[in-house]
Amino acid sequence: MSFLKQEYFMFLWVVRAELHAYFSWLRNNRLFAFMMLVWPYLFAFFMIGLGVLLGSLSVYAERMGVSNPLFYIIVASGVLVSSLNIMDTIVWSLVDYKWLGILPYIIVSPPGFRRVSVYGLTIPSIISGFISLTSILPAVLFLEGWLGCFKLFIILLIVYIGMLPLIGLGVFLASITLMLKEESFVSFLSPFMLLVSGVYYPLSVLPWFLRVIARIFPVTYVVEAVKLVSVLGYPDISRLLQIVGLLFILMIVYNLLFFPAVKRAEYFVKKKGVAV
Amino acid sequence: MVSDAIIADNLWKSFIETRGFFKRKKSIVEALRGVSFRVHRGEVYGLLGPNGAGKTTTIKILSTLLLPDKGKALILGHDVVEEVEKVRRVIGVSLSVERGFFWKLTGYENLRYFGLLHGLHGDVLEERINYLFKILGLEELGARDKFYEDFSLGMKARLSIARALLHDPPVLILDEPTLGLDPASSRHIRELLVKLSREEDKTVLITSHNMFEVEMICDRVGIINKGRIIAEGTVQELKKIVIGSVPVVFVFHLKRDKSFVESFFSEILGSIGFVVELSEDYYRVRVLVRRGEEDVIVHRVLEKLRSVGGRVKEVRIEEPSLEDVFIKLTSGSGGG
Repeated sequence: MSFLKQEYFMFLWVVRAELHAYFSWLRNNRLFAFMMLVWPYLFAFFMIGLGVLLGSLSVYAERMGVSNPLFYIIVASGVLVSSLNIMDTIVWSLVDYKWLGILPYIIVSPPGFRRVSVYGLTIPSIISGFISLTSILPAVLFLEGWLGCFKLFIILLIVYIGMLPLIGLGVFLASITLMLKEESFVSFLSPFMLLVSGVYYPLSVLPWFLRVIARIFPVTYVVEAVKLVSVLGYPDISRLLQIVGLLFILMIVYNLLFFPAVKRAEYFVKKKGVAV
Repeated sequence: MVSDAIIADNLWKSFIETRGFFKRKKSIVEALRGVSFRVHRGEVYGLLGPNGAGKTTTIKILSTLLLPDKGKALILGHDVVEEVEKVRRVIGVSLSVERGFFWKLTGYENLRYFGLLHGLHGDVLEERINYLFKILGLEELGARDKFYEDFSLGMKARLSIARALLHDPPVLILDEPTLGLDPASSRHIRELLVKLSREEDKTVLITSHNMFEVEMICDRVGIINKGRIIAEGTVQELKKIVIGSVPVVFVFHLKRDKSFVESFFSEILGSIGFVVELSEDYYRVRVLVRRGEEDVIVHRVLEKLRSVGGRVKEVRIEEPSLEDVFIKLTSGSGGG
């Protein structure tokens, strides 16, 4: 069997298995599934409430450079929650597998650890990202009509492009968790992403070193793209394409750097006997 | 055609343990020190040994989950280090009966996940799951629609074996498959393993420290202690090791912990091998004495037990079993 054909079949097996597990899990945890739909709204309402205390929506719109602040906050919350979901799903799934004792059986399955880490964990993260983002569709429709829906579709595409480097980053962090005794260090990830993404405030308010970190963080560019799309009328297409280009570069860099980490993690696990 | 399904040849494995936060202290634990054995096609082979003997490490190396430091292992002629993917296609593994599944998925959903991961799908997968639910008695226990978190230990063990059998592998590697199970579940699993070996020509390697179980189902047994195989053969062959010895069993109640009882017997018996078990309120100590010396030993033990407040329930002399072989071979290692 040729290499490509074998990889295709392995991809198919992993995707089928992970889709089955993910949807079965959602079906058995309906309250959680419901919370996934509500989560972006909670984030948005929290930010609006806090913002109204400190100023007004018009000042906020001016500072952030967006035309419809409500639309922007809701969409940005959707983007943030979906990005957090993507990272959490990738990173925590491997930690979960370790805790549940499933990891050895994944390692001994024909696709093995590497394929399940890369192909498998991407699938639920795509779905969870999609659920979080499409949950804001009613609000978008109400605030911006069909043009808003079209913008949301563009944002979804950008989120998925932004996800490509996130996969590499997530798999890298997940690999590190397998080599450490204390996996809970990955809990820092969500608040850190919130801090450097510039979702709710301009990046210029951050200290210089955080601004540097923000520039190598994919979510920052996704948020910037969302801001561009959130302007009244048509966005600056050339800047949008620039951002997409940057995300592709980040994807190459992150994945080139991080996929070897999975190989290293598997070797470590087999050599030291941790997690199995 | 390869006549040996499993070959372990001089396997060595050590682990580095680190302790302390600021001052890191490292110590090397030698888990395996040259383990060698062969399992013939279609036989049930038992790897018997006390906790920490190296059973699970051996199993993990054979399952491609651990890399040996030295030595070679083959499954149906495939090297477990060099031909990992080929090995994984021919083995079914069960490592722990308590974990290894999604807690919020049902028994059926869990098996389906692992089946899909092995490339099974559609009617083939459905039929396989139905078959396994039937032969493992999972259907009648209601495991199909029950969440894994609500499973009893017996159900978990059965599901773990079902997963190992999902892709119909010719070699089964099972680590303590009946550990902690109720008698009915243990019997069911034992009968199934023998059936799989006899009727489907599957090679079964199990680890256990349950002598009764090993004696019941294994065609051959390897006794492992401190990372080495110290004896190997059929149960009858191994029993020859204890010809000339008599097992004496003391059952008594004593308000002291197990370590006290172990050192107490070590003091009385010297180099004579024994094993201590605690069941409910009673200690059961099996002592392997030379034929003709049993009266002296019984008298000495009873006298000493009374002096520390022990209430003796029963003293009996039994026929030698595999447990006595084990006691004899591992005596001097803390009573087993």
